[in-house]
Amino acid sequence: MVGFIPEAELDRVLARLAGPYRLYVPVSCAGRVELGEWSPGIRPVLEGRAYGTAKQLFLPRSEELFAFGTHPDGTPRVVQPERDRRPLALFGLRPCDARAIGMLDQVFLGQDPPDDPYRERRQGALLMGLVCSRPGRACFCAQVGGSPAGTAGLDLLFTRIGGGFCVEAVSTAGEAHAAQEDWPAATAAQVAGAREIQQAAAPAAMATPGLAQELEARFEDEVWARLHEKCLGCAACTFFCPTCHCFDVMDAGSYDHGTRLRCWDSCMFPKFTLHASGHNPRLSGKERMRQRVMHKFCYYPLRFGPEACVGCGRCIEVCPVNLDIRAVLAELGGSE
Amino acid sequence: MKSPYVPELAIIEDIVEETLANDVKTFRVVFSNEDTRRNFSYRPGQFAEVSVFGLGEAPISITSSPTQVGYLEFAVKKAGVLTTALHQAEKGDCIGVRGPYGNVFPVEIMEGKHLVFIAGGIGLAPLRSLFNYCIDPAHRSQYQTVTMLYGARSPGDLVFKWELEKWGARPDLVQYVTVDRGDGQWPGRVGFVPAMLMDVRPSPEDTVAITCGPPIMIKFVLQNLEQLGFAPEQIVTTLEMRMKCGIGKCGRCNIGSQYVCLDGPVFTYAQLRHMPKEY
Repeated sequence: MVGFIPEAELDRVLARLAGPYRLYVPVSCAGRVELGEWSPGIRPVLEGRAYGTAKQLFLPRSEELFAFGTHPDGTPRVVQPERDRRPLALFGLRPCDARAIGMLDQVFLGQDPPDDPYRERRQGALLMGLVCSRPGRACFCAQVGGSPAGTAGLDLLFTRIGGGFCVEAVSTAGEAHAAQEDWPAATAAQVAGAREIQQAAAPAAMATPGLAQELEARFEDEVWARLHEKCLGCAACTFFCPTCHCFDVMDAGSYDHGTRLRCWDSCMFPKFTLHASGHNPRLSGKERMRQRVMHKFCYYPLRFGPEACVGCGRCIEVCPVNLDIRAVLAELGGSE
Repeated sequence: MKSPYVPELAIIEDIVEETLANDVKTFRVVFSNEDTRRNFSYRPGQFAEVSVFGLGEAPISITSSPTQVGYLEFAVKKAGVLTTALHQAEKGDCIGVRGPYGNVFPVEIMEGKHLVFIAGGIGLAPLRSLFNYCIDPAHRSQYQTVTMLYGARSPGDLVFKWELEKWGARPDLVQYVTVDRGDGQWPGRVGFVPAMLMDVRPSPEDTVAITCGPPIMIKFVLQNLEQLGFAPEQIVTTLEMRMKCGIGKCGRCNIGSQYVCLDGPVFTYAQLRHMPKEY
């Protein structure tokens, strides 16, 4: 069943969520759209997509894995942090970003052992997506198997039509929530309006079958020497990528009072793979650029199936030297 | 539920200085928690993340064998921040250990076969777990001849000397030791490990070769084994790679689509040949 929420009702819908959930919505923040915690009075931004990714809610830029210290007799003790146990709810999530969370799930939950801090945040999270009615200038979700009205990773799909939102449950958790909310059914005309928007938003999909296998054979290709040349190695693309998830583990403090942290890291940094012996398997920008592209379009697909790129276009927007992953793919013989 | 990132506490019970330059030490550690001590089960080839609180952690192969009950041993070369801190540790100090991680040497495939171990320098550490497992009275009869070829830069750089003597004295084991350069008193063989391999010329028939050492040694050992007629499936090695999580999440130890921490560190040469040369 498709429910309908009049635009004026949205505030009340969000307010009901904000109690049991930690609710994040797209908000306007210094001229940019960012995901921010909702509180009464905050109006979600319903145009465009957030500058930062939703991954930071599940895999924060920096987080404490545990604290350590010493007992009075000098022996160490380890304390796991207390986290806010309320599940997360995200409203206004773009389908590309929701799909990316599903890809992170494969790594953090799908491979044993599961990543406990990630699981704690991910468990019970309610993901409410908003169909994109107008793709951004760097968007290319349809070229990597996504859609502006895609439902992968989502629990509820919202389509904004005149006067309100059509809401569809697209997962079991979404169905349970919809049943609880008991939204009035959308009229046939409203549903037709939603379908029209969903279809209009989706450009013709251009899948890239066999790209992973093709790239695997091109590891030694000369193309890599050329592709990395203008890259500064700043790693902005990886930090803004919704599927990039590399992290570093480090200690802060000292033996008797400190914390073990994990922080986002990037394969674009030279020290990322530097051994203590001094040996470094990815010595130059060429190897590092190859790793980033191959991980997304070859290694991850070989392991998990889909390409680890959802076409959100953030890497294109934030790159200081205008390296465009679409052009890289075109050069590699993938989509264009 | 306990996070996989939280280590178990372990006490350093013994420290052996292995080399003349004192750059390799073997730490014998015992878990503080009795249940962990009893339940921590691992197999040859696996590694653990070893913590020095305040400085971080590093992946270190478990050099003891599961047949040695009640403790773990780590042979550590002083190389970076963490290993330098470990080298400053004293008996009785507390460290963190989480694991075991990674795959294991294919002991079942090795059953009924001749085994040839080829190690260089600290590369003996990961092989030692398997070697001691195979030569344990409980398992020795499952293998045919067991041969160890070991070498180091100099006599002072040989690790586990006390154990090499013990192994050398066993009639059911064959052992060859070489050093790149003698020191005037060294009575043994002088030369590189790959060259010694060509002198010993083990037959590839019904044989599995297990090798670990510096990359340059491995490169020539692989070439020479192939020359001796070993098929890539008969050659097993173990890799090291910079890693953080040890459980396939942090994204830095991959070689192509393979994660050294999950799919390795043990690989056959047949597998390695299909992986990108990025290790």
